[in-house]
Amino acid sequence: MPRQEGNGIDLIFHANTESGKTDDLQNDPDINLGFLNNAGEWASISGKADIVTDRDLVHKYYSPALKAWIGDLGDGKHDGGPEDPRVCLIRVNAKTAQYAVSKRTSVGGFVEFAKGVATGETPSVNKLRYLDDKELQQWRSQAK
Amino acid sequence: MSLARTSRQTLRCAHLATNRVPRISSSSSALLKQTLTSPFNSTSSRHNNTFYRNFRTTTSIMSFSNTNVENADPYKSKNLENPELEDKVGDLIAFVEKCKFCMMGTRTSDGLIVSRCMALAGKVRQFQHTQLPNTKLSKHKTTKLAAYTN
Repeated sequence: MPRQEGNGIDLIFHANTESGKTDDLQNDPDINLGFLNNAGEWASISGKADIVTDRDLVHKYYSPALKAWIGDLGDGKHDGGPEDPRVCLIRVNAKTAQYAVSKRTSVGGFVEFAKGVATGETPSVNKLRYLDDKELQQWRSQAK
Repeated sequence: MSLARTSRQTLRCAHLATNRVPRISSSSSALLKQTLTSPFNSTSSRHNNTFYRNFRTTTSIMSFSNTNVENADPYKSKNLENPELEDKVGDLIAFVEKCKFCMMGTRTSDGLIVSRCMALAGKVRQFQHTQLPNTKLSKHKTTKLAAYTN
């Protein structure tokens, strides 16, 4: 299970330093994270990423499941473990976030949607929200 | 072309000529404020609402329009809300945790935007732009990335 700390807004991902994504982020740290579920709820987080290879932090967030993704090269060093130099973290410093999650049950949302189709009246079914950099900074500053 | 539309376009041109409203960085609250008070904001009350105008996938000024009616995006008008920060962040984090997976979009060296599925590994509250040691890296990606300025 992924390790989670606090109630943070800055997200952490595992990666292989030899993969394309680290090349991309080396050239341009701009990053977007798009979350979506099958109900059509979504979130988009934009920010800057950095690649973390500090072994203490890698250990902190390491998951044994990574071995399956990173692979053991059989040389005793590149074994997919927390000391494997290929194992790194991608840390995303969120700058803006926007999302839409449902404010109604699926049945209620469908009723509103059906009414909208019939009447041309756009339904109010989602919590459509925006967080700017200032708000995210404020949130971080409130962290204990 | 209607008078209203002509006036709006004139205002846009004037505004561009004075270079007062460039594309803004999301990290610049001063520029953000300047943008939000742009004279070519829509005249509707919704569009004059700072929060309403903020919600878009880019922080640059909207430049494409194919109509001159007000409140032409009723979905946004009906659904946009601005609760307390705790609720806004809390609901976002809850949704992200529930999803667990996301598409991570990056820009390749040839300028294209690409994405791939990634699993969330964790969250941090305090993000510090400290340069972390990377002595075990076979390449210099981390150092270069830390040195990147945008």
